[in-house]
Amino acid sequence: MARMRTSYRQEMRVLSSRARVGWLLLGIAALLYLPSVLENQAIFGYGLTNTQLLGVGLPQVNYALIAIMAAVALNLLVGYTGLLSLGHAAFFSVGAITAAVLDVQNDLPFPLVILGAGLAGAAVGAFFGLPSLRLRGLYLLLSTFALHFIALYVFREYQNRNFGFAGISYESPTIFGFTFDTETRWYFLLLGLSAVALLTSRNLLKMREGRSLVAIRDHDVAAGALGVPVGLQRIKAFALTSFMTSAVGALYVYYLGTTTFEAYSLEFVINYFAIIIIGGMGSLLGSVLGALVWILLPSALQTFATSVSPDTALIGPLLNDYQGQTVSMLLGLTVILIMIFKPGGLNSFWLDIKRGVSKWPYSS
Amino acid sequence: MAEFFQYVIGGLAIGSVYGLVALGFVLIFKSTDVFNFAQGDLLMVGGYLLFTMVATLSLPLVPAMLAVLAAGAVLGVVLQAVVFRSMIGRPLLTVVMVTIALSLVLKAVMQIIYGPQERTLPSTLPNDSIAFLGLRVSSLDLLVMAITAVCVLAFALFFRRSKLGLQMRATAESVEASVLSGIDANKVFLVAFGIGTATAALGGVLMGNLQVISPQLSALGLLAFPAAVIGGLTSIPGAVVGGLTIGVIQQLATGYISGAAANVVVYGVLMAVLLLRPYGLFGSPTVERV
Amino acid sequence: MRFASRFGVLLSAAVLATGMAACGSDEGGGDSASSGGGNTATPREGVTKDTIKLGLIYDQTGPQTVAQTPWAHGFLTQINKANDEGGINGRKIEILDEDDKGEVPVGIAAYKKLVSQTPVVGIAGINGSSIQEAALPLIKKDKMPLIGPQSTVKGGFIPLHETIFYVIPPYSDQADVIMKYMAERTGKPSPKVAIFRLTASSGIEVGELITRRVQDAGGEIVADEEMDVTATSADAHAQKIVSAKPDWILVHSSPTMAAALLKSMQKLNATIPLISTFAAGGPTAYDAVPKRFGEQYEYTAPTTPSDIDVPGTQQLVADAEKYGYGEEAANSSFVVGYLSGLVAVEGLKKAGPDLNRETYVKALESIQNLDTGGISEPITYGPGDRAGISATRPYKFNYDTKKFEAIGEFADYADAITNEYAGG
Repeated sequence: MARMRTSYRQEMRVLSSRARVGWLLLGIAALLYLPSVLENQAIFGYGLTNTQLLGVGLPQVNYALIAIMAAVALNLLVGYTGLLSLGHAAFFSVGAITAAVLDVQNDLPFPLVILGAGLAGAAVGAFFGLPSLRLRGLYLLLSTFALHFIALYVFREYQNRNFGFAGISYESPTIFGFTFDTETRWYFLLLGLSAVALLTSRNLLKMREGRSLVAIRDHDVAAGALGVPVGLQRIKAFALTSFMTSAVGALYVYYLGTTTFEAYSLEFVINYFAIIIIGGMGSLLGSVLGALVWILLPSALQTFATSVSPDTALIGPLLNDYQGQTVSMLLGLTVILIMIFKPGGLNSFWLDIKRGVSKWPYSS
Repeated sequence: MAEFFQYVIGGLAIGSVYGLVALGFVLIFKSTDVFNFAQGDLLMVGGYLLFTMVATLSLPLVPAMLAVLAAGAVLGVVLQAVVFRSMIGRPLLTVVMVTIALSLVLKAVMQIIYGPQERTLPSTLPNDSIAFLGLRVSSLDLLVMAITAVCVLAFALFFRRSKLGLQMRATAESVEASVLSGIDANKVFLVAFGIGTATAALGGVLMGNLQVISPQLSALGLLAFPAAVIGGLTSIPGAVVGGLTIGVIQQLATGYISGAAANVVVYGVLMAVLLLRPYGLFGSPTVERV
Repeated sequence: MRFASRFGVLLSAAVLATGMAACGSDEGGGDSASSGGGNTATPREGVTKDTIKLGLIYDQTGPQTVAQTPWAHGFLTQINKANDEGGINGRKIEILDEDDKGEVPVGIAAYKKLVSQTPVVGIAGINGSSIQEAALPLIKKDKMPLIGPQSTVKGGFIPLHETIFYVIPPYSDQADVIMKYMAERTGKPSPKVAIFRLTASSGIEVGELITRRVQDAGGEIVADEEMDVTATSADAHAQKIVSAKPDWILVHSSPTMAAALLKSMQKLNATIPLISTFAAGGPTAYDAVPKRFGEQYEYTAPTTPSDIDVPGTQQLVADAEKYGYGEEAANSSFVVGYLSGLVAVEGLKKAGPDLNRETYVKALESIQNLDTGGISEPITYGPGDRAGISATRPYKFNYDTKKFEAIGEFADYADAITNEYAGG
């Protein structure tokens, strides 16, 4: 790229050029205006149909914001530190249990609950991380696979003993008397928290801590030789990821208003892996893009599906009778194609665009 | 005491199916380094294909079963050639992701073709209940165990005696070295996938006889992973032993604790094995490359 | 720097182009209410002068699809039929269907979408008991009509949700009929009962209801087996049940799991009477085992299988054939969906030209003695009554004639029903 950094200070800066500041302000303005567009289905007074909005509504966007935060957390562990872990759903469930214990059973205020969820998550995460001291790669993955089922069992027993099969209900949270009970309010809360999560992660990765994690991923023996405490950093990576994930898990159950152990399935974990792989592992932008695509694409596909009339050749009757299955099939095929042709995910796709645009007309 | 053995027998029967799925899985993994999350879905496809052969095409049962195996092998070869050939050398997670997506596609396609109903075979292999030393064994269970045993034997012979088997073992050790020795690695990969898928299809055929054919069958695949690990990810007979072990543990846990606990116990055992002996019961300790 | 400015140019061009396209494709959009630029969004509750939008939420790609897709097809049959007959008061019904994948968050997101983003005047489905439970507070808040879910949850009856119209009786009614019938069938008024159920909300509910009734009758529960949805063999469960020597076995599961249980019973050479709730009715269990074991299995249902010739089932089979669902007509889930559709359409007719969610609820509530041609007892709602049907009766399968047979009439069992959920 044409950008050269001449000082460490410049490297650390969030906004490294004036054009970037411009983009940031434009982006913020768009994001602030977005809920109004989606709720009223009109932009600057000009109405939009559902199809034009790609079937996206504010609930989906909120869900995507939560997914972004969780994807960033997972990427820190899997993408940046190279530790394969299937514990994601388990950490979400820790957030849910903590919220249940602290709020539903003990009535603590919302910010404390989230913090508590994070701390509980960190503790569980450190525990999940212990096998990583002995196991690598595939075997570590399988050990977290096992821990996932065990954690799920614990959650299930907890739920059945204290809340019954129907699930745990959470009331809308309040901060200083301001209640979050509409989609728009949740949007701003989640938007703010996502920004904090992204910024924190980005800065962390530029600091010594973050760089040591990447070093472990690339070559742990060499990292050790350079003085990185490999074992400790691994545990820290797990703890950090699960702190974030657990806190997000607590937010998640407050947003939905209810949860049950059935929600924390293996599929849940696989969804998040899909997100970071499609988005691009080891990339924050990738986490964002992956989350947006994975969450919003199915509803976009489904919206197009409804606007296809049943008489269209081949696709028509398929979509009419088996809409969910067809969408699922198309999603799977898309992923396979992305993986074959662009394994770096959407992030690498974006980098290609950047490169192409910067070098034009010399891009090859 | 009798009930303990009754659980064990039931466990061995279903464990044989787990073992078959794990066998195919380990074969594919060992030969091509593909961690195939879609193994359970391939089993489901086998079950549905059997239904088509028997119910729609009215083939007699045994030829239909063989036809499904052949179809499974063809499917595996096609998958390798079309999808997985371009995945050679890619990182583990990318390949896993492709198999996960494949699993989604297979499930969706099966539902579109066959509709949402469960399917029952109009006639199955004989399922009589035989009294034996105070226990009850079903002839179908015995058949399943026998078929699995025959499979394992056939594999053992194939890998030890036949030229192709030797080539596959060589490729599993080191792809570069075997290519240098003149082995056609692509052919080996195709065969590995073909056999791996055929074994999954066989599992599906057996499950079609044991139970009802529905999309739920793909869940069997999830237990193939612990089975393969416990047996040793690099050992094919180990995979079958692992499958049998898991089957027995599952039945015992369900019987003595509860259905929900069964999964936890299985995964607890998996944890223990991973921590104490990660290369499994039969695998060989690998030297980690620095 | 270079990239940023170049990209800016590209982006602006793209936005302009999309803007122009959006301008032009206004007419092309499938759901815009008026033409020309500056149209308004779809009217708030899904009703325009020529369409009525109904939402349909069910499990399309998840674990319960095997039962829920036939239900949906039964529902769609009625909708297609109504549209072919000219629609309702000059409006055609448009179905917006959503896949809940059997997962609570997906189901809730789908529900929220149908409330305001692509608004509908009523929703059918939300069949999964966990998803339904989670949606109850939202349904209450939005006053959204929910019609004919395939399963009932206790929370829908107690406290009564004004806008939920069930088309099958609550489990308490089924439990009452089961107790009465099995006492007659086995000749044991204080029986030893084994329970075989699936791991879901309804499993626990049914378990509790039967346990209490058995204990009140002086009997005891000798086994309570919960089978995991992902398990493929019921051998261990069957073993425990058989060794407990019950007088009869209560089954509440999917047809696949019931078939697994029967197969395990076959392996153990055990012939113990079994009775199932309607959830595991239908041909699957009977096809799985030979006569000697299959004839022990019976199930209760509020609907009549298509084998039994009454005008209603003949009509159902004809309709199913016409709309391409011929194969599924024998499926009891299909029949329930068919009735759900019937109620939905009837409610729309009664609401008349002034249709919105509120008038729809009132219209549904006013349905009295809706005749189903013998498929079930006539459907009735009323103030405080959202159960629609409360009559249930047992059925069995005759292996010789290969047809289902009813055991008695709906009225024979009416006196057993205690209306515990006070739904009527």
